[in-house]
Amino acid sequence: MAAEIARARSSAFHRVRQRLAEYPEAVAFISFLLIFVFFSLANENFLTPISISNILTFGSITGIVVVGVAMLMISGEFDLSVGSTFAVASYVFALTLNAGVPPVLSLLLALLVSLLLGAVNGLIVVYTRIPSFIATLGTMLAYRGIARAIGHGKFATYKGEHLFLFDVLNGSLDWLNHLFTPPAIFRLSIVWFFLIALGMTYVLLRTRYGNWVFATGGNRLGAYAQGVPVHKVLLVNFMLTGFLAGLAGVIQFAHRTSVDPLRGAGMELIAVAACVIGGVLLTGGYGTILGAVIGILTIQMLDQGLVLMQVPIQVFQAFVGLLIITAVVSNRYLARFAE
Amino acid sequence: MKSRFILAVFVLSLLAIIAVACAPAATPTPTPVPAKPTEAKPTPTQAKEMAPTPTPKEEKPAAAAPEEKRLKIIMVQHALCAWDSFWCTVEQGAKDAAAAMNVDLTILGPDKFDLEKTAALIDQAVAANPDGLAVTVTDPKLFKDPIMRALDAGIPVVGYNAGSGPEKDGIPYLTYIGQDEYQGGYQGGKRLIAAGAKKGVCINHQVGHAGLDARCNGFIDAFKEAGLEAEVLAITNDPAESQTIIDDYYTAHPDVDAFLTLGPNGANPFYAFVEARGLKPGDILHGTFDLSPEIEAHIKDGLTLFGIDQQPYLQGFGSVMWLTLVKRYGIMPALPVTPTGPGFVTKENVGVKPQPDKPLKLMFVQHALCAWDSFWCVVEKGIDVAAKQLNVDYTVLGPDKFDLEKTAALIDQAVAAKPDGLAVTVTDPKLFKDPIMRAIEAGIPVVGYNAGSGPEKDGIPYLTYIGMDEYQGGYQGGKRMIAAGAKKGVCINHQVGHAGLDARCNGFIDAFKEAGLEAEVLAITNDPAESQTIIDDYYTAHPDVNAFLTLGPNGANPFYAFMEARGLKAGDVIHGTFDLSPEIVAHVEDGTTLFAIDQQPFLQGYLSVVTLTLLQRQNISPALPVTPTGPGFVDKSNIALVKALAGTYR
Repeated sequence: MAAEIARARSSAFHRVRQRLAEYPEAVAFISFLLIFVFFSLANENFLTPISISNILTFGSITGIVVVGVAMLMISGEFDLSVGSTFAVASYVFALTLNAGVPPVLSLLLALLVSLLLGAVNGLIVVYTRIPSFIATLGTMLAYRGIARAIGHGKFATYKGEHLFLFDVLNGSLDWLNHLFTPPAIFRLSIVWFFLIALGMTYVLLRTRYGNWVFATGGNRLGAYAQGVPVHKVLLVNFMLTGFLAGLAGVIQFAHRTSVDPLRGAGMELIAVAACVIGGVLLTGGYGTILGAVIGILTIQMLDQGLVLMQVPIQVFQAFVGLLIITAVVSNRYLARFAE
Repeated sequence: MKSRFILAVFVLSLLAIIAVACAPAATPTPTPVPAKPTEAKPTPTQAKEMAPTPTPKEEKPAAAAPEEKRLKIIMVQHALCAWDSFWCTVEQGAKDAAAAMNVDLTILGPDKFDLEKTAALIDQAVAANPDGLAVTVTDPKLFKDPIMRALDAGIPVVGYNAGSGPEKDGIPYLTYIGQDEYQGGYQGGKRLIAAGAKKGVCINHQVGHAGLDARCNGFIDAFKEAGLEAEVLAITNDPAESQTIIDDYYTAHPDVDAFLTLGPNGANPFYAFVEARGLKPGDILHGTFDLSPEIEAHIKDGLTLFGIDQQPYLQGFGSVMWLTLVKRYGIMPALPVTPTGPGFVTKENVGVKPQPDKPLKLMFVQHALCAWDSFWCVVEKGIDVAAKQLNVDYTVLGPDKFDLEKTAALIDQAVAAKPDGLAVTVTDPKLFKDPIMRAIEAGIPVVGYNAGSGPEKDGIPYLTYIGMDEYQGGYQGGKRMIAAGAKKGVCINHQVGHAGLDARCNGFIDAFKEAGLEAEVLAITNDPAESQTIIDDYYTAHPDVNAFLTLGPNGANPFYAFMEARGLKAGDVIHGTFDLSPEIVAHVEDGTTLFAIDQQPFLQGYLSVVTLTLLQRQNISPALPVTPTGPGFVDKSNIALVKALAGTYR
């Protein structure tokens, strides 16, 4: 009798586990919920407009970068240069604006440069067949050098009048913020982030290109055999990643209006961490944008929650580390059932 | 079997998370500092030069922390709580500070107003050989000899409540802790102007009284600076007569809309005049010194914008605190006068009762951390020591590398935690303005520390900036050199155009000008050899210059090279410098360098905690927009202590 119950239980457990395995973002979602519930219960200031808007506003900038990195990782490649591209785009935007270039042109220039930096990554990986981890490790340093060189190692601060373009890129959502007392800090970057994430989800799940991305990451030889333009997919994904990193850079600049030589450093690893927490496999071919989005929001939520809990800032990184390990272990545990 | 193992790992990690979360705050243990001085990171609007941390020469023995050594402090005052209730607040402040700071406190005073007896008490206190002595300098002439005997015995002395500062009193005690009358009038004037004043009058009930005149002068200067007019109106001690004088004045000058009274003796006739005329709150602006039941009632009904309090609690608290800091860490009060007032009592804080045991949660957001910039270990030590003494919870937040964007985000994250007080390095006023404004709008008291220029220059209405006063550094330094015999001075500036360094030179030159002497700026470069030549050539052309101020190691090192090359000895010329470095410390010890000026980073952290805590618990507001932590002079008198504590407290 007892054995039967145990079997029934275990089969129920198996079913749940199998169901969960169908969703790459399941673990991310569960850990998100667990952490969310924990902070909500543990600290009375967590479920407040300020704290929630902090998480979304600060998370959305890295989030835009994460969307690109997730696409790239699903196609089986890394980009460690996103933080540097982020800085280069901010500098190009800042310096051209200060030089009197029309704002829209400045923006296009900054985005074009990031697209080019992404293309360089793609070309190196496709034509030299160096692993992208190594190739973009190199360009991470090289692009950082570009940012420091064009900025002469100094801060670049926008000196002109407030631009309407800044409001378009990352205006404060005052009508929303002033619904609360004290006011929240929701910004337009959140909207851009979710639109980009939705768009990329659509591309990934509903278009032929999306299929190519999965094929390229999952089984590259098979993809070649089936006529998937693997090189083109990789090149486009690298360009997309660079573009989104640059876009995130200018969006942040539109809010802060200054950039420093180290801006964005460390962002590349946070982006990879978000993807990994979100269930994107390092080996490619498996994962969702939604998972990566949940991943970055979980990290940002942890960041805010630990401040509220008055945890010493020295151990913040330890928490993110534990989160990553826990998520990967759980993901692998589930992934065995997905096969 | 395998899945069980994975499950166990999962549970264990969760447990580990919880364990870490519940662990007590990890205290950063500052390791001995490498010999390379840590330079401040560049900031966009202003690059504040930070003092390089001196290197501890050898491993210090694991001695007890300076806080654990019990100190004996004696206060001698001309009145006592027992027969003058004003003094109960002073004594309470002193007792609270003594209890928090591990100090044995004795308060001495005569049984009635008796200055001769008070002077005798000072001598009796000196005989007890205390670690520190605080004295009301009620009669500088009478008290000079006893105070000099204390100073000669090596006892640190501060003045409190009564006095005019060491210079005016002619007694070289450390600092006077009390109301700054001029600033009271000046800051009061500014508040009235901000509220819309167009023309002001200072109603003085005792023209000729130095303190009251200083208040009016400050008031008039504030108006002049704003391009507005203000004047003094003399009234008498007769309320009815005074009311008539004010009324007649108002008839003759109906355009006057701002009135400052200097105490109840001015405020009461003013209230009678307002009532007789049928004026309403809003028709005119009124501010006053002191508090009384009438004044408090009118602050509540909006007629009176503010009452200026000298904050007696802070006079007692500050006396014990400063003597403790001097004795334990060699930390010096920055200025000859350490103001406890003007403390503004407004509609927001009138009648707030002290809550001495209120639990507090403070947050600090700074652009660097001890973890990667050893300068900040000293600041964080100051925060930690003060928080433990005052029993408050605190969290220090900062980015993992120099990252102002992340720092700005951390301010917002800290605001979400609704702390009882927030201290922020105002490294980039433009970038930090919005987050700091959100904190202020959320009702969180905010102070700036280490980096910033004060609420006015930064354009952010935080309470006060706790950091180095660059101009005063040069000015006080110049005065010391003049006292040591300087005839002609030169300020050796290694980065002309840097606002902070230029301010130091301006202060230095002003001190010489005031003494009727000459001084000028000499620009050098960052190339030591070239700089040495420039200094050498200058000395050849101006052999009569005998006082040299350098603005940091970048100036001091080429200067030392110049002295050596020229064969100049200690005593041939007078040298003072900013900052501490191993070379500078060595030259202060051998007498070549008269003093080194320190921004006292420990004090930046310490005073941030004290300021926010006293505000929340005792309703005490900072007196001035800038609360200077420096110039902290390091000279032969405290170099040994400073050297011993380098890297942790200094």
